[in-house]
Amino acid sequence: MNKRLFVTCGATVPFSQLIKCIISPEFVKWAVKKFHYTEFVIQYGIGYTEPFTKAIHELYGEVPTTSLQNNVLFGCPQAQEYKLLDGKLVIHGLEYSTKIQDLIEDSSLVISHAGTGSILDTLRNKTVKPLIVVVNNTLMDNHQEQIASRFQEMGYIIACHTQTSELTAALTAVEEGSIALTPFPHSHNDHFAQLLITTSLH
Amino acid sequence: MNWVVLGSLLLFIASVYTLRLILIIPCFTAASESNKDGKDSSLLKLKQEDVRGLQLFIFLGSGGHTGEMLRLLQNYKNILLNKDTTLHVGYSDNESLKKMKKLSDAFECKVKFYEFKKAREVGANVKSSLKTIIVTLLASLMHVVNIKLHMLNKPHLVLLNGPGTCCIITTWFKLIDLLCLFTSSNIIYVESLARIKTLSLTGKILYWLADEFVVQWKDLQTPYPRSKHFGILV
Repeated sequence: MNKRLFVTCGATVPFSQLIKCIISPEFVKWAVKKFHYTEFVIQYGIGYTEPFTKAIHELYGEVPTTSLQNNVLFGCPQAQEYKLLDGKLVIHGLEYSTKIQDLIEDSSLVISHAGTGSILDTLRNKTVKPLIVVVNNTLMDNHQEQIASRFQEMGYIIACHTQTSELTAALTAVEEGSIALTPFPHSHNDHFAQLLITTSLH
Repeated sequence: MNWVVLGSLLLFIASVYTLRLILIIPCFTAASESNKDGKDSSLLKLKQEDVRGLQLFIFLGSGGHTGEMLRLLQNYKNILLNKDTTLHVGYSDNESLKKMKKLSDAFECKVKFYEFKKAREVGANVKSSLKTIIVTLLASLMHVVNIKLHMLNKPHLVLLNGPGTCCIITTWFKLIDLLCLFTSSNIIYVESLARIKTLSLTGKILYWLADEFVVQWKDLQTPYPRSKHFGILV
C-alpha cells in the first residue's frame, strides 16, 4: 500500500530548514519505520532544484531520475524522483505543481509552510487531510506566525517550528489520533452574499 | 452685480461638490452599528436574479491576493458569475492572468482583461520614473473610465483585496463619482486572511474610501468599527 506525505513550501520563497528536516536520515527512517510512509512528495519552490539535488546526494549518494510520466503525474515540467533506503521510500521533488489539489487528495498527511494559500489548499480540499503547519522563523513576516497560532487555537491544524523533534511530535499526535483536528468551516456566508447583492444595486 | 452672481454661482458649485464629496466618501457617513456582524434582520432577502447583467470589476493583486480573490469568486459564483454578468479583470502580473484564464474557461459569463502596470521601476532615474508613474496613472485612469462606462445604469460592483494598485484604482473610481454627480462605484474591499491583528497599508487607506470594508477576523473590528465581519470568506 502506498502511503504519501505531501510537503509544500509554497512556490516562491525557499524554506530550506523545513526541507532539511524532512530529508534528514533521522526523520526519513523514523517516518518509514514508525508510520510506514512509502512516498514523500516535496514541493520546494521555484529555483530550489539544485540545492535539493545536492543535499540528497550528500546525504544518501542518490541522483534523481526524471520521466515524462512523473512530470504529467505531478504537474511539474522537471519532477525529480529519488529512491532511498533500498527503495522503501520514494521522494519526488517538485519546484511547483499545477496539480496541487490532486497531490493533496492522494496524501495521508500534509506538512505546509504557514502561507495562507498553502494552508487553504489543504483545508479546503474535498476530503479532510490532517495538516501540520511549520512556521518559518527566518521570514521577517510575523503574519505567518500569527496565522499559524490562530489556526492552531481554533483546532484546524497543528503548528510547529523547524525542529525535527517538534515535527515528529506533531506527526505522532496526528497519526495516533491524540489530537483531534476540528473540520474547517465552510466559507460560504449568506450575509456576505447579501452584502454583495445590495452593494451591487446601489 | 455680476460679481454677486458669479460669487453665488461659485459658492453653489463649491457646496454641491462638498456635499458630493461627503456622499461618496463613506467614512463621512455614520457607520450603521446594527450591521456590524453583517447580521441585519431588516435586510431584504435579495436573490441573484436581482443582479442580472452585473458588471463586476475585480483586481488580481498577484500571489496571495490573487489566490484569495479567485477563492472569493469561486465561493460566490452563483451570485457574481451568471451568464449575463460581465467580469472585468484587472491584473498586473502574468501569473495571475494565467490562473484567471485557466479558471474562467469554466465561466459562462463574458470576461474582459485590463493590464494595470506597476508604478515602481527599480533603478530608474527621477525624471524617467516620474514619466513612467504618470503614464501608468493615466493608463489606469483610461481602464477605469472604460469600466465605468460599462457600469452605467447596470448593477455593478468593484471587488478589491489589495495591494497598493487598489488605492490608485479606488481613487480614480471615486474621482469620477465626484465629477459626474450621478454615478456610484460600489467598492467592497476584503482584507487578506493573513491580517489578524493589523490592517495592511492598502487596508488602512481603503478603510476610508471603500464603500464596504470587510475583515476576516473579528479582532480587527475593535480598532476599525466601520468594518464588517462575516468569518473566513476564502
